[in-house]
Amino acid sequence: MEIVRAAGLKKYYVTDTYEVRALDGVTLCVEEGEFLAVVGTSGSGKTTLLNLMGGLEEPTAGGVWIRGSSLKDMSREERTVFRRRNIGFVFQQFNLVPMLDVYENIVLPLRLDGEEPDEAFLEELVTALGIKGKLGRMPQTLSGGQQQRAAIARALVTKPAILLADEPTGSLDSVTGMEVMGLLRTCADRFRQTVVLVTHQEAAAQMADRVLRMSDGRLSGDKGGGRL
Amino acid sequence: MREYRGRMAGSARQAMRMLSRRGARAAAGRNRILFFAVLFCTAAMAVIFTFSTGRIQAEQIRSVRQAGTAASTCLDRADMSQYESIRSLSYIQAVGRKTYAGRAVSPKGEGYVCRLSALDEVGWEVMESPAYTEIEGHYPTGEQEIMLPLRALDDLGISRPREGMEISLEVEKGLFEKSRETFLLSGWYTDYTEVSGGEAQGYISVAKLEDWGGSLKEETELLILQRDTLDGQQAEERLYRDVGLETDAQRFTGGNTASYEAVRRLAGGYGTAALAAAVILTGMFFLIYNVMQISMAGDVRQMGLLHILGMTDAQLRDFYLGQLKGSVLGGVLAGTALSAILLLTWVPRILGEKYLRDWGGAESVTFFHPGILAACAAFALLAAGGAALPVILRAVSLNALEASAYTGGRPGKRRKRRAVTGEQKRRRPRSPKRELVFMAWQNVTRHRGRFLLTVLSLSLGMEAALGALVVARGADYRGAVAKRPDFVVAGSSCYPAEEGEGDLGGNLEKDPFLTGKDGFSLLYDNDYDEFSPISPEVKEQLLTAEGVDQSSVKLAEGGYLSPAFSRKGLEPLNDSGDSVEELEEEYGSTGLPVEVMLGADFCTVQILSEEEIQELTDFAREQDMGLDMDSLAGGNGVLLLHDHILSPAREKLARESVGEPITFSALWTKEERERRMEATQEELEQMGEVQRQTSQPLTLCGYMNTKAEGFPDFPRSWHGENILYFVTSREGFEKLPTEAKTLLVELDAEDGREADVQKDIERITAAENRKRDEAGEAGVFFISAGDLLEEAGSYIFVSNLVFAVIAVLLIFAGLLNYFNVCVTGILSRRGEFDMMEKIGMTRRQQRWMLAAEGGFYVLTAAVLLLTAGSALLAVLGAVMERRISWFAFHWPAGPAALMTAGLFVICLGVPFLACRRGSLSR
Repeated sequence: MEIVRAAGLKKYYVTDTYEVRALDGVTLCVEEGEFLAVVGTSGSGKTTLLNLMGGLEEPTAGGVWIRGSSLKDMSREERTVFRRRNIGFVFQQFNLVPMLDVYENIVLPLRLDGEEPDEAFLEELVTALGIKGKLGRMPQTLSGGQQQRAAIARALVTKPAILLADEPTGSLDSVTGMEVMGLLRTCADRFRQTVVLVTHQEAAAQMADRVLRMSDGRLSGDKGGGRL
Repeated sequence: MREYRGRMAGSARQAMRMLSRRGARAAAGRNRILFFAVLFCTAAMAVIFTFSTGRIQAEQIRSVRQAGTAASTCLDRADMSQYESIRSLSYIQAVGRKTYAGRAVSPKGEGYVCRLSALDEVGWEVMESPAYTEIEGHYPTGEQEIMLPLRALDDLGISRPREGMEISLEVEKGLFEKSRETFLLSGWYTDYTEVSGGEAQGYISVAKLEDWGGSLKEETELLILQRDTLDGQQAEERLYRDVGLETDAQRFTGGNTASYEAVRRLAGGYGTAALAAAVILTGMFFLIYNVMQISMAGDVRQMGLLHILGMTDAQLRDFYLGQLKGSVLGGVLAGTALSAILLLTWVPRILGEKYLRDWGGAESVTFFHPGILAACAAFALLAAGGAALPVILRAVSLNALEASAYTGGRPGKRRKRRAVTGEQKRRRPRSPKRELVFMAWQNVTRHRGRFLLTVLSLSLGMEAALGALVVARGADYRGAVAKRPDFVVAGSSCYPAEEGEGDLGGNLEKDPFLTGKDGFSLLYDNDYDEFSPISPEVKEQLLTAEGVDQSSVKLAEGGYLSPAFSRKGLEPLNDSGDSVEELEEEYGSTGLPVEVMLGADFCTVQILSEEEIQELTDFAREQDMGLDMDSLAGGNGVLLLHDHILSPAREKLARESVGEPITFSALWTKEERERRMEATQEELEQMGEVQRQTSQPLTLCGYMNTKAEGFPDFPRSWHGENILYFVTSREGFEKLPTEAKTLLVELDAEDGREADVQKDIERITAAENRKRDEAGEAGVFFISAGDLLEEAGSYIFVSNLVFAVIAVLLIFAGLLNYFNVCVTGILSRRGEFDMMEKIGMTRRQQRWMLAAEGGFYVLTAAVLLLTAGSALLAVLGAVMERRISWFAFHWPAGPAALMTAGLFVICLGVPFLACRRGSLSR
């Protein structure tokens, strides 16, 4: 079943003196449970693609549908709420809220909706990510890898339609990075989570079911990942 | 999971509250600064505005009690249609009616106990009773009821008045109409016009007035209170325009309301007061605004992240405001409580006891105004909200990504960099110190808008403080005294001791020689040609007294004569309702000149110097008065100075009288006077008319209003509505049939010799008065500036204190503002400092860089202050000089230097302290 569809996505940044075509007509579909990697060099447009898919920016042209809902047709507030409930984000810089402990960071998206976490699911999640004993700690007391795991837990706690990961291992050493990628993959399999990963590291992309390459704002080649 | 539930609450709202609390805790440093900024803002505004309001109120009360009425403008000889017409005008607050009924004769045989008048309800409730304190009983309603001031009762020998007690009074109802009546005392009160030389005022009922043939409906005096923002001249002009006068004889006498005067003395007027208030409010706003501005980037980034995680705009707003709520509300409450304590305890003691000590005390003055406190608290809340608004707007106007990466500039807006050529690429190497200064400059200018706004707010705060100091110093009442000569010696008017004339009564703006007397009363038993207010011997002694600064001596010389006008020349003074010709026909048979009928048969003629005549000529030309100043300067004319006694219609007649002939006759001799005083009627008839020398005709150069703005200042002897006062040159005076006498002597003492000179003057005047007492002549008296200063001591102290408090608070606000900018800036850039330390910048270097940044702020603010700020202060000084007669502008170089030094201390001290406390790192 198709979870995410992007059609004819374009994103141009225009100023008085120049025009940057960050995305120049991207069309793709992601199936439910699929782990898709988008690989490209710096400036290829992969992060822009992720931001558009996550409703963080508005496209110049084209559209994104998640579970059949068009992000373009939503107001800013509707998009925010939709994002909170249906999209999980994992960033290169972890972006945990520094004044909340790990547990509070993880359940924050639920709390913003006034919901209680599914305790059983939460337990399973934090156990799988190996941070069960760290729930009461503040983010700045954790290592990078631990922080990223907490960020992954936060992204998955709402059981989103899609998890978007933007260079999740970019701030980690290679060993830790592979560990985190492994955990991401494990969670994706275990919870049948659809994941779109953006990275410049080929090794990380090998974890995916499918790899797409981006260059100059366009997708090129649709290769299977190492896992298929 | 159940063993750990964290501290999260179960609903979105509770989650938001928790998030806000955490956010507040994380930004504890900034929020503490915000708390104190809001506290100071609330308390300072409450104290400043309550002080100012209290001072205005106290001044108002003082003015009203001093004047004996709250009425500011009046119309004489009015009727009911004029009363109704004035009542309906939108710029008139209230109109009361007052009719003079007579005077109560003193049982001691000489003089009067008080005037007697009747008032309508508004006249009593709104106009006159506010001038009294300790009012007992009620306004007279029964025909025989009377209400008297305590000093009148004292004169009557009544020390314990009782309501309903019988009082037998001899009442003079007209020139020769006296009767004895028994009244019932309906009430009594304490008045304060005695301090300022006014006559005591008592009241009878309207029924009694009508019994005596008077009326409140006709020939009554209207007591008018115009809108407070309208000055007396504007009110007068409008009333002349809007109200029909029955005859040219009627006139409006406009003055400023007590409220207007109070605001004028405090701040120069309503306009400048409003401007000052706006400046103060703006300064206070920036005090809070800067705290939020400096930490804005971090706040926006935090909100950007939360937006990414799914917080809506409304939730972001609630989150941000929730963080600030505690500090802001706490600051407002604490500020309100602190100011309430100050205003309920310390302020009344200072203002009340000292300020109105001689004016009935300050029980009716409120120094605690809950309304003002509430308004200040509301303003502080609004200011905090207004300061938070740009942060929220910035966070929600950006998309989540932009907000999460926000550093303070406007996204997408890049400064154009100058293209560097190959040669320019080779930059001159900078020393470490210069590199720090360069970095500091880059830091402060990276967000130009914020830099300029911060500098502007700093300058505004300093400017407000300096403005308060300029006003405080310039409006210092000591300036009013300093403008006066150290000593003025003059001849007494007829009843100076009893009626306080010549005594300023604590009102330093008052003209001590302004009198309500006419010429007859002025000289009374001394109305003969030889009489000299200051004898040649006394003059000589004064001028040669040791310690007198000879260069400061000013004499007013002249004489007393009887003028004879032409019909046209006399017409402006004719307030009878009939023309001069008609009066001549009516009173011709009495043999008395019309001047006698009009009270214009006696005058003072003063000699002016060439410089003084030139000043008057320039003034006349500027005002386009159409006067014949050439005749005055040429020794062929006399100019009539009046104290604003002409209505517009009579001003017109005055213009037409320019060039008319006028002659002057000498007063009779002393011998002739004594001879005629002792003669019988038969003997008088045999003597015939008094033979007096008369001058050749001189030119009447015109009428000049001494109350017009810009009228030149020179010493004048007794003058007023009922005394004709002419001036002429020495050459012109020599054509008059009398010798010049000394009317008045002004002199200063040499520095440090004031006490010695005063002792001499006391000795000279005492000796002279003993001589004159024996001879039955009016004596001499003197006014000492030193005594005035002493009398006004507590008033000056409190006035200066009020300004000093305001100035200190504003200075502190300015310094605090800058301190907040420094500290908040450091707190919000700790990550940056960490990073700089990682790449090798030592703490010492960071301190110097921060100090350099602060230095740029201070220098820019100081330059702004020196340039635009100085110009603004000069404008303020010019405006105040026009509004307050004694205002003297002094550029506050010292305080400005001190404030700038204070700012430099802060800009050096804060980084140093922050470093020591480890506040530069996370």
